[in-house]
Amino acid sequence: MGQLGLRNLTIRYNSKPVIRDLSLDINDGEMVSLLGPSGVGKTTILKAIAGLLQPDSGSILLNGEPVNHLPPEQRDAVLIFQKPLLFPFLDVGQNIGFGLKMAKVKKPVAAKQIDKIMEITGLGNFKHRKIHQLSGGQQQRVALARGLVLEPSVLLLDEPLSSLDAELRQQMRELICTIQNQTGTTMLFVTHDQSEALAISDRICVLLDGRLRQSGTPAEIFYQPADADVARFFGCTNFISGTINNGTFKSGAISCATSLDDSPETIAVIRPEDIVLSSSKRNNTMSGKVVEIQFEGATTRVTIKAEERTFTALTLRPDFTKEQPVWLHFPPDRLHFLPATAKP
Amino acid sequence: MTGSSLHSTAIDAGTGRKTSLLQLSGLLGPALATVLVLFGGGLALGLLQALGYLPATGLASIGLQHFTRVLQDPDFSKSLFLTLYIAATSTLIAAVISIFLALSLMRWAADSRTVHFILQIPLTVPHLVIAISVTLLLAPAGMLSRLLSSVAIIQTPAEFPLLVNDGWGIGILTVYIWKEIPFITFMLLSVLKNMGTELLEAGATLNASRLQRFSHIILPVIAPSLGAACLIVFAFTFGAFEVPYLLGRTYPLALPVWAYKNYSDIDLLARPEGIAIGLIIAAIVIIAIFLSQIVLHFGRKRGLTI
Repeated sequence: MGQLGLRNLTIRYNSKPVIRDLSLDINDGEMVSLLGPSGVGKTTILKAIAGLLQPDSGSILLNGEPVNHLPPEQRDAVLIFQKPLLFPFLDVGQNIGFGLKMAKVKKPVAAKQIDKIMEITGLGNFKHRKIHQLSGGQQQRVALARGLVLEPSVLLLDEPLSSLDAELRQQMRELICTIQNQTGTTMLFVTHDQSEALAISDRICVLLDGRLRQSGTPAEIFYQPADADVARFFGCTNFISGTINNGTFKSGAISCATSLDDSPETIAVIRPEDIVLSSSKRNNTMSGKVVEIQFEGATTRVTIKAEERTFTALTLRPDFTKEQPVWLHFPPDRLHFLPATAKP
Repeated sequence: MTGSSLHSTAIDAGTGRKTSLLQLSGLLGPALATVLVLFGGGLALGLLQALGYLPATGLASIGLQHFTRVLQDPDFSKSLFLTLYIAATSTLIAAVISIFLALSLMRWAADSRTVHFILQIPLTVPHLVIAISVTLLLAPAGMLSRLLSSVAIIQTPAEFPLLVNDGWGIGILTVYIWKEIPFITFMLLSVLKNMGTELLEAGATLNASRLQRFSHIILPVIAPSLGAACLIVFAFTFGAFEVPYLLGRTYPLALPVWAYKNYSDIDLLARPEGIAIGLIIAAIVIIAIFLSQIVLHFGRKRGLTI
């Protein structure tokens, strides 16, 4: 069993609140990502859960029991750090077995557990290797195995892939998902990388300005951001202000049916890849001129000025030129309306 | 630069400039020659005299008789034991205190220049000054005994326990411990600074209690540096002369004092024995230094930053 609950957690640093009134529940076996930009306090939350720092207020519950008063070694939560932080004086097997040794698990039992976790993490042949003989990716795998072998209620991962190159990152990401599926360990994964969070999570919690701004499935967060900041954080900068009258959203030439109540001021957002650029006028189109083009390989990012507003579109076509007149089509089913309180 | 002997080059890590061995020899030659002549020459001359070659006194036959005489002297084992006791005890006590001092200063020392400055003070004070200070402070007629007597804790200064020129070498140990603590603490602080607190935090989340973090993380990390530092200070205290000379008893004598007394004896025939003792001391010191390097090498091989 591995349930984690945070209740109204506030953490201050130099009397300035870093985390404010954070509440969060993670269910048994769930893989949750805590996503936010660097310096927002993600690591601080993990350290508080692990017992490495005390929150100023609020409570931390592990399997329903408050653990604020417990030292780190008595909490059933293991933190995997950004750096592997392996013990250089121990070999791979000894590093993985460190926690078991501290818990005074009998040697034969520990040896079996170590072998099992080494098999799962693909470290079978490295048991007697010295730490400095391992690559960065292998070291991070050892760190992961060292935490997993203790079968904690909650495994806390603090950007463990950030120091790895793109290919290793992908491999490790897949490994973490596989292990999570195999072991059913409850994991709280901290990252600033949106694509990483989207790829591995059952649920994403977006942390901005020390507050939990939205919690939901990757698709919900991506396509239905709770506010403009969350939308921006996921790369959506296309905000269209308009009005809702009799179940229709209107903004210039754009018109779309909505179930929302009438409102004199409503903001709709649309993802860059959902804007369709064409050379002919259709329904829900706006005319504009290309002002900037960025070739990004598989896609091209095109910035367009239309009706005194700037839109960004991602298109597979690389053949745009500056000052080129284009029509922007906004498919109604791709427009997402922000709550009235969540203006950009 | 070409030529077969000049192909070997050393690369300056900072500038990336290559320097040939010939250039290196030219640059280091004068300093090396001075060291070799002064130190090596002195050692060779001493060895000759210890082997009995002292033409000025009429001794010209070379042999190990002076070493044998020293080693067979019943006082040798007493002096050796006393010297080992002083060096080992002061090193051990200083090491224990230094570990706790380094651990308690660990968080401050990373940023605080004041801590480093305070630790540097005892390093710069000569042993002789400390020895005299300890005499003035701890001698039966010293400041402490007079202070205790003036506040009536003891009736007369004569009641003050013997802490200088005493059988347990307390005065000598006090000086050495005072001098060794900052040195060992510096060595440990540097290692602890490299280690940082993250390794301990990792240990804490892996079930390690405070005591287990000390025994299973801190000790293994500092062990090579601690071992090397201890061997270095052991070597120094084993071979140092002035403190046991000032604060030690007249019998048995610490080995360096015995060597000095023989060497400076009015009887020139005692000089070879003095030098023989000095060479025995030098051999033990060199072994200790050599061991310290092995310990450091072992630590580096284990992947520790030293």
